[in-house]
Amino acid sequence: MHEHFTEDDVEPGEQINWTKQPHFASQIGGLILGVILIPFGGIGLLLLASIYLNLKYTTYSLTNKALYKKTGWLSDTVQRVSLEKIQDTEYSQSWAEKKFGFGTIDFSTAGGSGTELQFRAISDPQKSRKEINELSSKLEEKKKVSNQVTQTADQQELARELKETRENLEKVIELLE
Amino acid sequence: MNLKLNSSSSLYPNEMANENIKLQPEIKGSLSTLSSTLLVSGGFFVYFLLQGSILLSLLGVIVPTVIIFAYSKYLKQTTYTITDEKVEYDREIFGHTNQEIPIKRIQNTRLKRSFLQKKMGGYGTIYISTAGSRGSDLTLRSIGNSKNIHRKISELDNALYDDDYSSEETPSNTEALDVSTEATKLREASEKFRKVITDSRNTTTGDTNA
Repeated sequence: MHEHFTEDDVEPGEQINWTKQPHFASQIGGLILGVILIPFGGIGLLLLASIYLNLKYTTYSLTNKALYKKTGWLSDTVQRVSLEKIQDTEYSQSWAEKKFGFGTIDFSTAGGSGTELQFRAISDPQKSRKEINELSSKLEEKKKVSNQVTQTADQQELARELKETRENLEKVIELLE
Repeated sequence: MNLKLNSSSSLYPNEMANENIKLQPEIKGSLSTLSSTLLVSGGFFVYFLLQGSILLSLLGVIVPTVIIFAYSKYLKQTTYTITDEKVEYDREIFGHTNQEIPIKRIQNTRLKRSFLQKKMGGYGTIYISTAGSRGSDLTLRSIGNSKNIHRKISELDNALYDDDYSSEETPSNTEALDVSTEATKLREASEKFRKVITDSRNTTTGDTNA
């Protein structure tokens, strides 16, 4: 089967954690309308085809570094947001969406206003969001740890200086005694 | 590809010149933008050819040629430069425009390729959003090898963070020393020093007295 979103779309060495596609039930209204319109000629089929392509050629992906959204069949658009840049996340589910187990996650970054990236009709939105937030904060944590490491490196330097001063002093004492 | 070097002084002195990627929008990548022009003029050409007026139909050839020629000249005035610290846009037509975005300010990126651009060989447009206000975003229009350039920008963005982490991999030296215990030891040594000095002074004064 043709893979819409591949390793080819991400940076070399970046690992894809998961890829998801919008749930077909999100288009239930259009699907029903398409089926109803089939007796009236090509419009129904066109509608169904466009819904099919829309669902098939929309991919959401989480890698170890960023979020991706790829859309488009003949043309395509790849949107990328680094996990470090995500400011806040929001997920929403309507009653019907809850029954089918899918929903929408919105991601905001510091740039612009409003939502920068939207994962629509994604399955398990709550779990997915949790996963993304965990990965994002893990990266944040990693950054903090590296800061601490440099801090302790400074302290080590100070301790070494103190030790050397003491050793010098002890030598002076030895000379005096 | 025609590379245009600009002599504008850079704000970033330590960037490596050999890592710079210079790009220009290409006419082949902009064909979708020009497609409407080509379609209209094509229709013009065919219509007047059927009407039998060759002179008018020739206009349908000359006008788009001039437009394409002028447009490609216009595109040649635009240069995009990607270094490991910034993305730069430079245009020298009707004055001079230069815009720079530090890599670390990039919030999100978007690569858009139309069907025609894909078929023409990997052309595409990259949109860069920054942490600044909404209007100041940068667009790399109709550039070749767009997919790899998009990946390159992501890579540079990540490299900034990887640099931060790299210190983690080199743990601080062999012996782990504690600052407070070292300070205590130093104080003890200095007290000993003081004691030795006072002792020796006492003994010397004692000697003279005796």
